[in-house]
Amino acid sequence: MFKKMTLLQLHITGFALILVLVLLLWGFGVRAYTNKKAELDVKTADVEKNGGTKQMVDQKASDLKKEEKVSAQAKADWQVYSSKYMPDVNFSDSTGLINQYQTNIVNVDGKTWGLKEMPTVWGRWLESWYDAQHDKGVDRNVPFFAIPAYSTDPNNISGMKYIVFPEAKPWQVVVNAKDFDSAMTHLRRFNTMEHHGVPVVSGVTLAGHSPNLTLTYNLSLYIIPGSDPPKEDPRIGGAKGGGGAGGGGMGGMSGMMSGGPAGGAGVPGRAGGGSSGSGGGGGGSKGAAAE
Amino acid sequence: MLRINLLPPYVFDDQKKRNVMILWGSLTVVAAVAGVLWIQTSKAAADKSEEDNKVALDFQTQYTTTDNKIKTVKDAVAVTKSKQEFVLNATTYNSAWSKVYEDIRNLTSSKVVLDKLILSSPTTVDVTGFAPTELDVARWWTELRKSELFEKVNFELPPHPYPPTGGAGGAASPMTASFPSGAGNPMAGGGMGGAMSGMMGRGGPSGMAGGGAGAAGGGKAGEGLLEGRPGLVFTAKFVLRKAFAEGKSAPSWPAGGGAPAGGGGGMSGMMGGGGMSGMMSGGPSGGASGSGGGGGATTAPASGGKLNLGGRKGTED
Repeated sequence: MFKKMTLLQLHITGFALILVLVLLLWGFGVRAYTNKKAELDVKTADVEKNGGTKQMVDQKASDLKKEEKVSAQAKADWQVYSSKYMPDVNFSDSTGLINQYQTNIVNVDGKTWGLKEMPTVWGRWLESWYDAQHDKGVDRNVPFFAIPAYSTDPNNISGMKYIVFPEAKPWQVVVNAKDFDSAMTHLRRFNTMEHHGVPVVSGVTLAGHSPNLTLTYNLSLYIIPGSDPPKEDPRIGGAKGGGGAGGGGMGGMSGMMSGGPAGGAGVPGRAGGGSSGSGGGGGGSKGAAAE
Repeated sequence: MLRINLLPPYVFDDQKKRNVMILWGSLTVVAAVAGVLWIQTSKAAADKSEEDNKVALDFQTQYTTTDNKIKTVKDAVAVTKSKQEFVLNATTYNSAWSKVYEDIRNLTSSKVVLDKLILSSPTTVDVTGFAPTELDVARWWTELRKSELFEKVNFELPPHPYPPTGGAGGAASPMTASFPSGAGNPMAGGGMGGAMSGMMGRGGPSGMAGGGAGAAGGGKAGEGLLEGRPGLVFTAKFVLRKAFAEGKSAPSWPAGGGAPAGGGGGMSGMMGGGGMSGMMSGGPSGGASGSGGGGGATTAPASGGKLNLGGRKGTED
């Protein structure tokens, strides 16, 4: 057969044969591998962008260590803060909600108090805290620190993830200081309060001159328990309806404290009971009068 | 001698064809070998990519696992951390008050008596005070300008209109723009003039008592008496270089329910003698500063013209 072909035909046939061979090799071998490689390279690049490198894994491991450290520090700090500022709040189920409401929800300096007693206990304690500073040149210019009563429904304890005194708005406190240093020392003393919640002092203003320096500020106490409150006790019922009577009675007190606006603010949803509600009306009207 | 090939060309055709076939046959073999090598190389490259991908996926798995661990750690401590941060912020915020006021006290000239200090915004302290002369205030202002504590210090002093109005207790003057260009005024010549010019249109001696509406604790400059000594009442705004408590608002729990830093919106009410109602309405709630200022303005007329200097309230009617 080849003998009949011319030289040119032989050249063309040889070239075509190689061309076909190359195409076959590319088509059935190389192309598949090349495509596979390209596909894998794209996937790898994507994976590497999303944490698929040793460097990123090392960085993440380092972040984890940092986070664990931060976490441990936060826990340790909270333990310190909690033991310093927070009272021992008893949210265990074993005592029962009624017991917690009546006599044993908080332990301060070895004494236990029920939820219903907390406003009185805290109000008096605060007064005594201020009065103890009389010898240090600071006198309070507020008659009392009003705290609205809690609802009489012990089941409301189940919703108390924190306690703020006072609840609706901060106390507006006015104190007289004999001199500037006494006033500043008084301000610094807040961070030394213990077991009655962490205080937040805001809006501090100074006016007048020694020995009649007037210090005015807003004060709140925040009690944050270490655990969640117990669940509602279905055996205790009937109190929910009365809860709405709201900040009634104690609203009156805050109205007296703060002049006008506080009366209106009341403490919605706090105190239950009809009689308290009528007290709230009083508070409101006092507030309005003051305004 | 010339050699002559007398054989016809076709005699060599077979030989030529054989050579060409050998050539192309060899080339085909070479091409086949090269092709196999090409395939092998491509396969090796693909295998390498596969290996790289596998390694990357392993790393990604480790990365994801670690990331999940971080999230778990964060979630586990989130509540505790927010509590801890709240207490930390609260204590930091509480202690910032004495620091800012003590800093100002430490920079106060011995000739100046401060009467009122109000942090009206995280970076602004409104000051009311008394000085024997304008020159004392000017000197103090110069000193304050050197302090690293303040970004700006603006004072408001009594105006000097022509014809002059009465002395202390006199009616408020219109105070036109005479002050900034007033030749005899020690404050006008310096860089302070620009800052003050916009503030000079305020009332005269009676200004301080009322506290301007909207200006937290904003008394107004005028002549006054301090323990029987004549002098002048000035007001000033100190703009802090570093925001109070790093610009944070008053902490609140649960997080997100923050009360504003609340300068002392209500103080003007107190100073005006209008009393506690004005003061009490300032402060804690959202728009409290404004309402506090309102309190001040409301009470001002009732006690108009009273000064609170030298520890005596309302000594000058």
